[in-house]
Amino acid sequence: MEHQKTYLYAPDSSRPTKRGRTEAPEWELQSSWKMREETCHRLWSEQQKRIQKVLDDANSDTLSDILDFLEKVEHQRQRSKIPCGFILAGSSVTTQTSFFNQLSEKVLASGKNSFASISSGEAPNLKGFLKLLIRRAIAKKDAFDGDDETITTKGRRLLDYDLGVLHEWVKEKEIQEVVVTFQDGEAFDASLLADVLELTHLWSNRIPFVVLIGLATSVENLHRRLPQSIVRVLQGRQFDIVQAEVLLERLYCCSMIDSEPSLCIGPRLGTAILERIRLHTQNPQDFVDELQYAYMTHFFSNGLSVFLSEDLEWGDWAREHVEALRNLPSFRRFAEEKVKYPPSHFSVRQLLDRDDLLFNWARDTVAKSHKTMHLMAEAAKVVHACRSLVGKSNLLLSDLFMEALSGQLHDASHVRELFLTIKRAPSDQLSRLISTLLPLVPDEASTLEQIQEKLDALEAENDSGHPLKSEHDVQNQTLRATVVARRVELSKLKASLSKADAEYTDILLQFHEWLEGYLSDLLIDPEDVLLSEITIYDRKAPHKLAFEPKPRHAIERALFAPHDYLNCDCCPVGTGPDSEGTLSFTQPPTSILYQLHLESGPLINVSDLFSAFRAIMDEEAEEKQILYLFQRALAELKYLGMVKSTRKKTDHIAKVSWRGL
Amino acid sequence: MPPDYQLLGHLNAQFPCRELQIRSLATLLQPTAPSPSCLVVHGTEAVGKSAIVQALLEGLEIPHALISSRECITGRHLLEHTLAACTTVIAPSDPESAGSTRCESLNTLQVCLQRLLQTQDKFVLVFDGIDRQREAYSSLIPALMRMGETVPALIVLLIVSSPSPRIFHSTGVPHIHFPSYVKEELIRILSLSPLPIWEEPPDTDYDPETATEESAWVWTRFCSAVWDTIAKGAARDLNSFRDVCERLWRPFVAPIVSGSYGTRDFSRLLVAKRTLFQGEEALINNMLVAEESQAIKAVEIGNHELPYYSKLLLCAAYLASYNSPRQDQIYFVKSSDKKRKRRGGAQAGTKPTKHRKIPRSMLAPSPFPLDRLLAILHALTPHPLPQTSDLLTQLTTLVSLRLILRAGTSGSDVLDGTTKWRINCSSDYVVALGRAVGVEMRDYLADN
Repeated sequence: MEHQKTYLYAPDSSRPTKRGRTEAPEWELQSSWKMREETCHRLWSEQQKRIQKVLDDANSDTLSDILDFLEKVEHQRQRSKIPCGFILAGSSVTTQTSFFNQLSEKVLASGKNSFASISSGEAPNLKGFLKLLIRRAIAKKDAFDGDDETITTKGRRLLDYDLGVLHEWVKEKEIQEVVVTFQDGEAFDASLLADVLELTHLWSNRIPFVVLIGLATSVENLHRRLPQSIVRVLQGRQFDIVQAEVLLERLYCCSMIDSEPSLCIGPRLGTAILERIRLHTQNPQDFVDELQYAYMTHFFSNGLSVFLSEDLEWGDWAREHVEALRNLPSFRRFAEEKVKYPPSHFSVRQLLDRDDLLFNWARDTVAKSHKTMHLMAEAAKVVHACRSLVGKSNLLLSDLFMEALSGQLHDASHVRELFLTIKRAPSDQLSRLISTLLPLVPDEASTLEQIQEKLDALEAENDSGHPLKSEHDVQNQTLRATVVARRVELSKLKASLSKADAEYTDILLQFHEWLEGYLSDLLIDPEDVLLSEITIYDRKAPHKLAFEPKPRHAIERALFAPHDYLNCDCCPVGTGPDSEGTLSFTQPPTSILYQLHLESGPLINVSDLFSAFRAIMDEEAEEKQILYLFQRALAELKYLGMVKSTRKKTDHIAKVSWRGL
Repeated sequence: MPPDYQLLGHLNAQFPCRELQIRSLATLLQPTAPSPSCLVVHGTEAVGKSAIVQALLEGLEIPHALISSRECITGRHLLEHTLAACTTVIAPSDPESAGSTRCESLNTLQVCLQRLLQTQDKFVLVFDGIDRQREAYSSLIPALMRMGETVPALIVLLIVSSPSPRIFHSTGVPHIHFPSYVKEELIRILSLSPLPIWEEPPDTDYDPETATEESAWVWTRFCSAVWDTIAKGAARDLNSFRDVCERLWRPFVAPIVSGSYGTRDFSRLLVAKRTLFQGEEALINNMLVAEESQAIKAVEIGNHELPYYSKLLLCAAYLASYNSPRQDQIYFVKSSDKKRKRRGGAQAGTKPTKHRKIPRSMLAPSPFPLDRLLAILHALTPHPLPQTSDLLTQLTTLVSLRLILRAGTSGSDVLDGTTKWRINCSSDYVVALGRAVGVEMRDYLADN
């Protein structure tokens, strides 16, 4: 093992001392696991379909742009220039790969083109690159199985990195375009990139090359790296694929808001996920993974999640679940609330006594809770639509929905501001507002239509050419300063309103009132929603562990408290508050040395360190043996990057890192 | 024996200002007279070496093969390519013979050529740009030069950019120099193909012939003006000079097209459009097509950006590369009181140091260890930052984008704790990134 850098860990079949449960106990919530698993799979596959559709459609605009470019490029080919497309694809590798796969399918679909996509890792040098290019462009493997590096075409023997091979093939198949794609343009060695571009330039009078270069940052960065002679021959166009943040927002909306999701991600977890992706990876695929993990965790850890299954029937398994249901905080609150009013005593009593009744009640309530969440999403959409219509679009729909989920949207300052703005809206803005909101709120359509009708009637009479104004519009007010007894008094004066304006103000107020009532009905605190424990999943800890591992921390912790990991009998199991960090010779030497090094200053005298180490080690051990162990431990610490040799002081080593680096 | 005057006249018309070179080449390569076994043509970029050699050989009707080294990836590729080209010229009816022979070394090439050229009395083999051959054997050029001595009919013609006796390992080889064009020659060449003023036939007073005439008149003067202002210093070869002229032509003649100036008002036009010649934009080669790049500037707001922490990482890497580790305490220790001594020796009363050092920002970035980078990153971030694998992933991404490089040998162990890193982007870029995340780089840089 010592001579390998990595090795495959093959555990022996005997089970570890710390036993996990293997079989489900019969009386616990575990009995519904099968059903939950099925439900999870079913719900997730529905969700995944929606997500996949968004992912597939995400870049359709850019794709069609590029295809258009490829089609036209033949006619616009300038003398001695290589047509070249720069595709700005962001820094996420997954996005790039999936995009280029889509592109390749589309380009090849016409049958008259050839497509070779190459990423930097595959081609370290020019020869390798050309081999790969020819192989991919021809998309035929058997032609290369010959003896050595040569290919024979039409009696001519050519080396397998000779572009002549490609030339022959292009002539034979009458290919219109050979698209060469550098998937990650910046990751290529600049000189390799320049060499390949030079070659494509030289051959472009014989092979119809088109070059596509995927970039993460900007065209300028590439420009700086390429030699001028190459830059001169490129005739480029820039394409943007959809930005990660926009795509992320779309994914969130499609999975959480637009459809009726069976499982809702709570605000804390949702914010954490979105923030992590925005700040760290910008990879939309991460969102899909985290969402799936949320589904898995919820259905695995929460026995009651079985109620999310649609075809649920009363059975033996249900008894414990019903009991657990009675212990849910939201159910308890509900029951306590009901008990305060005598007429509902009976129904609560029945729910507490009769399992089957409670079972049916729970199924109905979960459905109702879904409905509530859906309406809440609808309200968030209404707020978002109103905000974008009055010209404020700095808040994303996902942010608004998350605010709604945490029960803060209704009282948020920006919503109050929105209401004030609406109060001042002129008539054309109002009619636009109504027409935008109509499709969003099918349940409230009648009220809105009434308002719309009145507004239409009023506007028909209005022949002034200007939109009608609201009474609350500030533009109608003038400030007048009067001097009364040497004091300046400011008074607001309202400009006289026409009769139509006054009528319009009435309509506007009606709309305002409706919107206020609508939002306060729908935007309730989800904590108050009955059985929200089942429909909302909001736990950050499992995600943190799964998606944000801390490798350094893990190593340090293992060195600091080896007993937690080894679970051996020899080390004393501490039971006090200061049991941690006790040194004993039974611990691994590296661990002892690590803890000693933590206690010392930036420069450590090795001799002192050794005497401290010897003091801890077994007294019976030989001096030589202790020295061996010490040296090995020190070497390991050095390898882990904890200490390094220094020239500042003789016989000293320097501490490199601090805890939690 | 006099060379064929008709051919020379034709070539001189095609390639003006190269009379001397054409005449010497034609004399040396005359089909009826003996020629030297080896010949070197040299000159800088865009002086007509390859084109003239090719046109002359075709004109003289000598069997020849032209091999461009730029198209050959390896030395072996060059040899294979050479043999194939010779075979196609000499025995095109017998492709099988070429298909069956391999040519892996210079010896094989020589033997094959000897066999091929038995019946020929003159064959010219042109190696274009042989001094730039990739993965060439060290003996390639000397061996090719001497190949004419062993193969009687063969004349080897090497086209190189700068001759040096060291690369040839022999003396007494006839060299023909193609000097760079001077101003008059450049303008004469460009005047042969003037750009039209009007892209479509003008509707007003000019009939097509006059229009062409006027275009040529303005074009010649325009080229001269461009040379005197911009191109003399920065675009001295034919290609780049022509590029600059073509780039400036449209904006220059726009007033004539719109009708505000006549074609003969050249001096007034020059004054009116003097800003064109004062700036240096025309010298910058743009990879994006012109009208496209402007459209893009307009929508650039939605640019792809690196994630927040990647930007911070880049800033930290830049600081780690350009600050010396000794100054880290001054700039990054948060507990030290606020009165930082910025810009090292700016205290009053100290006289400027005698020996002047080159500022660090002008030197190459220095390598730094990973822990220093992370330490600086922690000092830059305004809030506590847990050390997760996300950060390390981003570092890897930045390395794969070559914004940060691993210093030292690329093959070294990644797991090695002593691996060092280095920033690989310009200060402007990093300063802009820093602004985007709220880090003012000047506050942290030791000298700027």
